[in-house]
Amino acid sequence: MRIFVKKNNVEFQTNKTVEKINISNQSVNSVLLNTGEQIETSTIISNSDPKTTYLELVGASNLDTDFTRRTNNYRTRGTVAKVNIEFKHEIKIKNLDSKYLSGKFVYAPNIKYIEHAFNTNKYNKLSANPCLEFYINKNKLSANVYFIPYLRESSHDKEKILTNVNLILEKFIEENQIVSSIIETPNDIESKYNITGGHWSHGDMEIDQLLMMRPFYGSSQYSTPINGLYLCSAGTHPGGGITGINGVNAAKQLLKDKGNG
Amino acid sequence: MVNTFSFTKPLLETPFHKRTFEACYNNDWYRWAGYKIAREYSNTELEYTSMRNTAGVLDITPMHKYDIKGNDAIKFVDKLVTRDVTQIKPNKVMYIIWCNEDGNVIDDGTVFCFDTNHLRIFCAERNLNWFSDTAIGFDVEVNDVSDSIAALAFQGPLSCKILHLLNVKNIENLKPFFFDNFDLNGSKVTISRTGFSGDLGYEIWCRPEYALNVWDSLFKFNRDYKVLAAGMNALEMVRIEAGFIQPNADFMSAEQALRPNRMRTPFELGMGWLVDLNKNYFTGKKNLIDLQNKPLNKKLVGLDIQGDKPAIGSVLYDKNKKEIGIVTAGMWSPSLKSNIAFGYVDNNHMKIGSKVFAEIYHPEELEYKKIWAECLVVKKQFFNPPRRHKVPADI
Repeated sequence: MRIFVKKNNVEFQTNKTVEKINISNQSVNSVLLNTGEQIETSTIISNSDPKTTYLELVGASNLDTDFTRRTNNYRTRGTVAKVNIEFKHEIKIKNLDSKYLSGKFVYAPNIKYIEHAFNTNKYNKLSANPCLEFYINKNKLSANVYFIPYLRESSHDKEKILTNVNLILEKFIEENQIVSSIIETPNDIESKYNITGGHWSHGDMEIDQLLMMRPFYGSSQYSTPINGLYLCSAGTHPGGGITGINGVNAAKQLLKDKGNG
Repeated sequence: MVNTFSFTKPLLETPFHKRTFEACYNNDWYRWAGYKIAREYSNTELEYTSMRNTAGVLDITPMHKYDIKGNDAIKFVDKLVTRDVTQIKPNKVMYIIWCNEDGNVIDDGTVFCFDTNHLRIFCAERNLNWFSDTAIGFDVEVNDVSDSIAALAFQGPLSCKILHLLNVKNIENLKPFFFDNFDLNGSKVTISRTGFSGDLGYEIWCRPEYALNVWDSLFKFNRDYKVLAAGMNALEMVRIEAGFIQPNADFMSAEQALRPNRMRTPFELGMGWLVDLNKNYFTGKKNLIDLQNKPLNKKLVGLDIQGDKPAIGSVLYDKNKKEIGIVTAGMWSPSLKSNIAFGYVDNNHMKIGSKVFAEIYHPEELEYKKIWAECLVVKKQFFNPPRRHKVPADI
């Protein structure tokens, strides 16, 4: 991608944060970077989550109340924590041929188990029996832990989450001596990656927040109420998962609006 | 033993209730925001006449009052309303309306500026939900302070004189749409030169514990000046004469209308003068810009109606008997000696001087008298005496 864009005279600027999208007459005007630099533009495609884009970068003063109401009520409370574990020995799964280790492992024994794992999340509590989704690479394991709530007023007992995860892994992994483990709760993901609620899909993938209604009415199909501003994050259709489709569709919408589509 | 039915619950009593209850000879109560307010004390015409000749006292405690506090207080109100309020100064009052994203009016009210970090909005309908959602992204706190402030409207040509006699210092120099703090017979009060009567008048705001003293004081000079307690029926009369419209009576609040085509834009309500499309972004601006040059389908206008039978609820027609609208409020105006109303008309009859017809059903001893009355389209503001604006006010 880098080579392709370079060929087309496109410049990437990294390690800079966008502080504000400046608007005049309901059209984008420029972006203000944390370096104080201002870049003038008539088109912006934002891959920040919709809440951050609208409430932090655009600002509520440029949007209708009905719209900020919908933005604010868009559900973005993360429910998944990320755990990376390094084992002393190369990972072997009991009773499984090593040629299958490159696949995805899912630990969710039955639908009732999943429901119980989610129930505690509804009351801002950890699940003692979480579901897991993990990949293995030699002695490293990378897991998504379902369900770990995004907490507003308290903090997580990370040790407890790791213990719960290990109790499950112990059942399957031979020689399970752990060298180190790293955990990122939804709150960590929020502060580290600037994603509201630390939601890895930039918003719940539920029926009222999908398809033509993703992220919400008035902002779907990559367009926004601000002229020249487009969304392409996981908060747009078809959601999270780093498929790249969001970006392609946003680009198509932009070309259509500019009359080149 | 026969149990007498009690109205005490669930309706709330205002801090003035001891007095309004004594004065309410008819025991005729109206429900306003959960409070009991007199509809008619003894005689609506007398109460109306007091407001046009001496002064009338109305208990307006149930008005909704929202405190806006924080660094973005002015910015917040500016985003909320259609007028530019960024230049508002302490002690100033502004008449405001607010719209939804489609540019349809939700409600109207007044905003009082205490200082740049503290404003207060007064309005007829509940708006906490709308205000709280508008506050998203602003450094403000919106609080409903409705129950902590007692309020009276004191309206009429002698209102200033009586406040002056009560030693309310410098009250005559208070300009229309300004307010200040005063001492009224030992009670600390805030008085604004505002009101719903279209005449010289004030609104008096105080803590509930001062309520009875304030009420009694206003009647202190009744040997010479016959001040009366006025009910909601009398208020309805003066507000029509003054040209003031009411949500959910003359238009459906956009937050409450069930049918989308029942919502009204400021232009349709004749309130285009309150819309500033050059100011900073406010809710509804985008649509109001689109709508500003489009022809209106309907407009709320004033009507001067032939005859003396009030056209309340009448259907309006053009000369070919094609239905074009409806009357939303109407009355025989004793002051103007004319039959006046507000009504919606279509695009062909919006201009001042247009002629339309009202079909009035007037009940006469168990039979309707059907009247086909010619109506002249006029300005909504029927009554606007110079004393309303005069500074210093007459004492």
